[in-house]
Amino acid sequence: MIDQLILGGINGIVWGLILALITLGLSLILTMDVPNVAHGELYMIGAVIGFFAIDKLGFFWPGLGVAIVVVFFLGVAIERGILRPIEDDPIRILIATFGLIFVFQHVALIVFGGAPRRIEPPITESFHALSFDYPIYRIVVGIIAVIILIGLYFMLYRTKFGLWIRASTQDRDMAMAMGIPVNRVFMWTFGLGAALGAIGGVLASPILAIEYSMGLEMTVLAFIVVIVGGIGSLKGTLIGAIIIGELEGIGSVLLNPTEARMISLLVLAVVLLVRPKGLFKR
Amino acid sequence: MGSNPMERKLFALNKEILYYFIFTVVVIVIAILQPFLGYFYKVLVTQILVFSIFAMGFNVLFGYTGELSFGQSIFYGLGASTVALTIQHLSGGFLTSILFAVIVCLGAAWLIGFFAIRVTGLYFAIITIIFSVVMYLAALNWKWIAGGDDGLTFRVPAWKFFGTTISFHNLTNDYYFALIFFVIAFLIYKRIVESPYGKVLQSIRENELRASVIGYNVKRIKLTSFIVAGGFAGLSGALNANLISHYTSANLFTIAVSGEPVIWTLIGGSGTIAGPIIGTAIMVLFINYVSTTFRNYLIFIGILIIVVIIATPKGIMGILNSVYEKRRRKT
Repeated sequence: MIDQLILGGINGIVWGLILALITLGLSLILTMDVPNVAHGELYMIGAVIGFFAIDKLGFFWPGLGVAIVVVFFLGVAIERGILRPIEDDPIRILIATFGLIFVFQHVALIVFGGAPRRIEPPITESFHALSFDYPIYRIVVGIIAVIILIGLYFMLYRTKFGLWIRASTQDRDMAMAMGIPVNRVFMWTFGLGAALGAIGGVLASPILAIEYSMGLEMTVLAFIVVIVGGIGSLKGTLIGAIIIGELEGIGSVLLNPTEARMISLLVLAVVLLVRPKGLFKR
Repeated sequence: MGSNPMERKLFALNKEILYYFIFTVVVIVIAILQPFLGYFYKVLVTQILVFSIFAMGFNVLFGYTGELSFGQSIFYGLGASTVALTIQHLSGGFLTSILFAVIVCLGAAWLIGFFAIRVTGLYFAIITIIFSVVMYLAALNWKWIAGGDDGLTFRVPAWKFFGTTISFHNLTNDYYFALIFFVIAFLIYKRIVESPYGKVLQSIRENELRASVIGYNVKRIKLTSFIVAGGFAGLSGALNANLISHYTSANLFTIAVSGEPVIWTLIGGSGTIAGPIIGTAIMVLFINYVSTTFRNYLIFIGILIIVVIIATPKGIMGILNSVYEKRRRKT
C-alpha cells in the first residue's frame, strides 16, 4: 500500500510537470486577456501531429520538433486571423475559441480516427526500486519539463522579449507608447503558448493515449490550474499543477480515476470560489 | 424613437400588438401545418419547439443578465434524467415527471448558482464549465443517474380518458404537446424579460456597479436569473425525454450540449426576445441538412460560430433591428 502511494506520488509529480508546461502556455495567453478555451485542442493537435511525424520520420525527438513548429505557427495564425478583430472582448474570444474546439476535434477525428492510439516511448528501459519497475522515460519527461520551465523563466525575466511580454500584458497602451510592437508581441506569445501545449501533448502521449476528444478535459484542468495559481504567475502555476497532479496520482490509488478527477476538480472549484484571484496573489 | 412621449407610447403599443400578432400567426401556422408534414419535418418542428425553450432560458441569463454560462447541460441532462427516474421508479406519468424535472432543476440551479454567482465574467464561465464537467463525470461514473454511457430508455405511460388513450409515442401528439409547452414557455419568458425585473437584469448587464449602487441586490438577482435559466433548461430536457427521444444518457451532460444554447442564441441574436427561437430554428434545420450529407458536420458549426461572432455579435435579430431602425429614421 505504501509502495503504491509512493508510486502514485511520483506519477503525480511527472504528470504535474507536464501539466505545468501546458498550463503555462495557457497562462501566457491568458495574461493577454485572451481566454482561449481551445488550448486543450492545441495540446491534442500537437499530439496528433507528433504521432504522424514520428510515424513518418521514425524517430521520437525530431517528431517532437515538427509538432512544436507546426503548432507554433498554427497558434500565430489563429491569433492573427481569428482573434485580432475581437481582441477587446474576452467573452467574444471565449465563444470564438469555443467554435475552434469543434473544428479541431473533428478535423482530428477525420485524419486520426476515433480510436485512442499510443506513441512508442523513445526510451523503453525501466529501473527497479522498492517493489516496482519504474519507466525511465517518465523521469526523462520530468527533467525535460523542468528544463523548459527554467528556460521559460529566463526568457520572461532576463531577455528583452520577456520584458516586452510583461510590459504589453501589464499596460497595453503604455507599452505601445514606449514603442513596443504590442500586436506582434501578442502574436508570438500566442504561438509560444500554443507550442508549449504541443510539447505537453507529445511528451504525454507515450504515457497516456492520444484521442481526438482529449483536449477538452485538458482545457478545463489547465484553466483551473491557471486561475488557482494566479494568472501570469509562474510559481503559482507550477505549484497548482503539482497539486492537481498529486491529487490525481494519489487519488487514483485510493479511488477510481473518474472519482479522483471529480474530487480534484471540486477541490479546485472551492479554491477558486474562496480566492478568485488565485492562491498566491495578495 | 419619436420625441413626443405620447407618440413613443403609441409606437411601443403598436410594436407590442405586432409582436403578439406575428407570434399568434406563427403558432397557428405551425398547428395547421402538422397534417401536411412528413415524418422528417414533424420531428424537426418538434425539436425546434422543444430546443428553443432551452435557448430562451439561456438568453435570460446571457442575453439579458450578461453572464455566460457553459454549464446549462447540467440542467438539461438533469431534466431528462429526472423524467427517466420518475417514470421508472415512481411510476409517474407525463405531467408529474415534467413537474418533478422542473423542480429538481430549479433546486440544482439554486445550489450551483449560490456558489457560481460569487464570481463574474470569465470566472463565472469557467466555474460553470467545471461544474458541468464534474456532473458529466458523475453521470458517467454512477449509472443510476442516467445509465452511464449506454443510457436509459423508457416508455412514457399513455393517458386514458374515458376509453380514449393519448400515447406519447405518437408523433402527432408529441408535436402538439411540444407546441403547447412552447407557447406557455414563451409567454412566461416574454413576461419575465419585459417586466421591471427584466429591466433590472439589463441594467446589471450594462453596468453592474451602477445597478448595485442604485440599491439592487445584484448577486441575488443574478442568482434568480440563473435559476430561471436552469428551470427552462430542465423543462426543455424533460420535454425532449418525454416527447422526442424517450431516452437519457450521460452524454446529455457533455459540454457540447452546454454549447448548443450558446450557439442558437448568438446566431439568432442575444438579448432579443425572438432571437433564440429564430436561431434555434435555423440551426436545427441547418444541422439536419448538413449532417445527412456530411458526417463531421460539427466542423461547419465551429466555423459558423467563429464567423458569426466576428461579423455580427448581435446575430440575425441585430441585423433586422438595425435595418428597421434605419427605415424608421428615414420616414
